[in-house]
Amino acid sequence: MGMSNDDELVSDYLRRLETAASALPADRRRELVEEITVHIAEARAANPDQPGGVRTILDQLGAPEEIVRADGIGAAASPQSPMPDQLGRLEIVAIVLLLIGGVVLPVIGWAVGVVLLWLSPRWGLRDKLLGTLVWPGGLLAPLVVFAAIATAAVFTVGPVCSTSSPGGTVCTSQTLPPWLTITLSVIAIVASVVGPIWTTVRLVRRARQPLATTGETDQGLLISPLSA
Amino acid sequence: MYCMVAGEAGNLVAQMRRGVLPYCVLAMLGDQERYGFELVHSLGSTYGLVTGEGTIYPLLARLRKQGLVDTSWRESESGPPRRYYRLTSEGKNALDEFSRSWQDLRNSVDALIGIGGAGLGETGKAETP
Repeated sequence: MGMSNDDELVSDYLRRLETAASALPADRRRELVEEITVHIAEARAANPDQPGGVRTILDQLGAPEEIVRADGIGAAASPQSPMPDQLGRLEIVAIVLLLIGGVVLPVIGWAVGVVLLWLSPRWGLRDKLLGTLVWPGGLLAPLVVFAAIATAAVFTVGPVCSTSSPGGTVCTSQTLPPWLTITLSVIAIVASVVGPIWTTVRLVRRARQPLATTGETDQGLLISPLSA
Repeated sequence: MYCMVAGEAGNLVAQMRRGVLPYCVLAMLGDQERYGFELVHSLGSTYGLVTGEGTIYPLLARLRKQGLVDTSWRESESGPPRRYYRLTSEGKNALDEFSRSWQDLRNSVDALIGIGGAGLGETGKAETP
């Protein structure tokens, strides 16, 4: 007979539709799949002896990807719903870990953030490299820098070389005048704070690419001018 | 700038089909409410306005969202409940407005192309038969 073959064709088609529709919001996806399922059932019932059977019905429906694309265009062109600006959960966790993971759980927290960063499909190679190298440790870096400077400062801003006493006191490993040390310290701290923050902002912006960009707005439907 | 290339008419017609499709949906609902399958199937097969019938469903969802059509569920003897679509008053207004614009456009283009006996007179104005 071929009934089971037809059923297989239908379930394959619906599976393709589900996959293609994963880019849509959950309730719209469910609705669309339901509508198409019902359509196929009605079409089969309306014409049980149709030559070509289910295959004709599916051909007339068109490719699942096209159907989903039509829905995507709608989401972009509809005046009521703004561009889906979704920052995925993966991306949010990655960004948080990159920024403060190193502070909460030194090294490991940040390292996990790096792993998630590279796992995400939303960032290009350049962004991923940026996220990893600027700076390693996220906001842990300024703390490290600050600690390093504080330790060094004890030695350099400490006992000053005294040249006025007759015997000539030996300086203790001072190479930089205090003002230079402080200036460099400030620069280092600012850079190590600004770096991760700037990287974070950039990663957030990049991850916010709308999901359904098809670039077909010039061929979009004419409904929008007439809708109130 | 829109440049015309030979053979582009086919592409233009496809674009125009896409453009008028929403109004054709509204027009089909003008006289009576219809359920999803019959609407979609008519537009696709009878009128040949879309190549993929499935793409009409997202369009219907859009029209619903824009308040131009309304839906209701009806029990059907032969299976699961059916979703019936009908025109709202806003939808009716949109359809009327489109009808007027379409008539004007069609008359002008027809006159220029010389279809239907209406050609351009010496004064340059269309002569209605």
